[in-house]
Amino acid sequence: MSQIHDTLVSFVKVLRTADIKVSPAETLDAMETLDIVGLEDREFLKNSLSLVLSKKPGRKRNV
Amino acid sequence: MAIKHEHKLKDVDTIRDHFESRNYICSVEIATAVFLAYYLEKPVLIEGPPGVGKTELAKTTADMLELPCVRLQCYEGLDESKAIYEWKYGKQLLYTQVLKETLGEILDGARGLAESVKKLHGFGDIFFSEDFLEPRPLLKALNEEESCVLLIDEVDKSDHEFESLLLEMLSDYQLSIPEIGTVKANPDKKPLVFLTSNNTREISDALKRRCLHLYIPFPEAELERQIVQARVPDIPPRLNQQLVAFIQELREMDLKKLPAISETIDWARTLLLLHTESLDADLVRQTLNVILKFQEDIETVQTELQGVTSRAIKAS
Repeated sequence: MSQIHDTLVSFVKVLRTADIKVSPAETLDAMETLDIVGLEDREFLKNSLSLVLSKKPGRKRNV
Repeated sequence: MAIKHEHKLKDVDTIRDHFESRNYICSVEIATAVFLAYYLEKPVLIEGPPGVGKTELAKTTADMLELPCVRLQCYEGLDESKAIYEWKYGKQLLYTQVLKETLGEILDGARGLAESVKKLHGFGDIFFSEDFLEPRPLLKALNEEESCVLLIDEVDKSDHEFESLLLEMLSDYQLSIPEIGTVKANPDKKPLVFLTSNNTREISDALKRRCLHLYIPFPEAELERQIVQARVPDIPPRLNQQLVAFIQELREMDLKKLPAISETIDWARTLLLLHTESLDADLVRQTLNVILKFQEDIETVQTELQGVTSRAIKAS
């Protein structure tokens, strides 16, 4: 597993401690999203991950 | 996936431009959702207050990609037979009547019930084949060879059981019909699925997990002005600014039903028809029923009308 995927897994762990439920399937979705979106555009990446990982309206900003 | 107009989904800015040319002005978040829905091959669950353009997003996407839009309107009591498929019972009955004589010929010579039934079995389940199947929206969407946009509208209105029915469709783009087998979408051209919800009840985690989640809030003033400008092109810029400022302030108030974008647009059209140059308190009082749909709300706003109007005028 590449380093960025490690980082993502740690990120998901942090989300879980913040009471945002993220399933393993969603973590995999997030990895696929990283591959598609890339890392150059941070705003784009942030918007994308908030679509994949946070599924409650009030929680979007936390991601 | 490789649909006909894939180049229109190249990146987020391209999507926004194409939407804009179709008079759908959207935020970056919305365009990102459409982009990811296509490349991740995942359905999008859209939540948000009524009238912010949830359904419109699906329709505009279909229009942009020149794909058919298959729509399933959800309601309480919606079930398999209305959403997935139904047997054409009438046709089945009619055919058995018509074929009665032929059946007589086929069964000719068969002795006793057991032998007749055995002979009939030889013909398989003719009456439960695709010829007698009435496809409903979900099945229709899977059968579209050239892909399509599937809009499952107001999914929060349906029952919990129905949500479970959707799971197979949403995660695997397939449906199981006991008599026929599994129907799958063309793997290269899966339908783009949009579900909308007004949040009248919480959508189950199982369904959310399979979807991207997009929340469309009421737009910021700047975006709303652009939307009004796109939808009502003849509106004077100053009036546009005033009426958007007025609506934005109403949304801060404690009302039963907040005015949505669709109401802002209706109001802009109304004011244009009345040849309005600039807002004034009397005019607002007369046209308040275009943006507010409850008498209580109208009364609440009436009391503060003067102040809100003058602030809106000052803002321009």
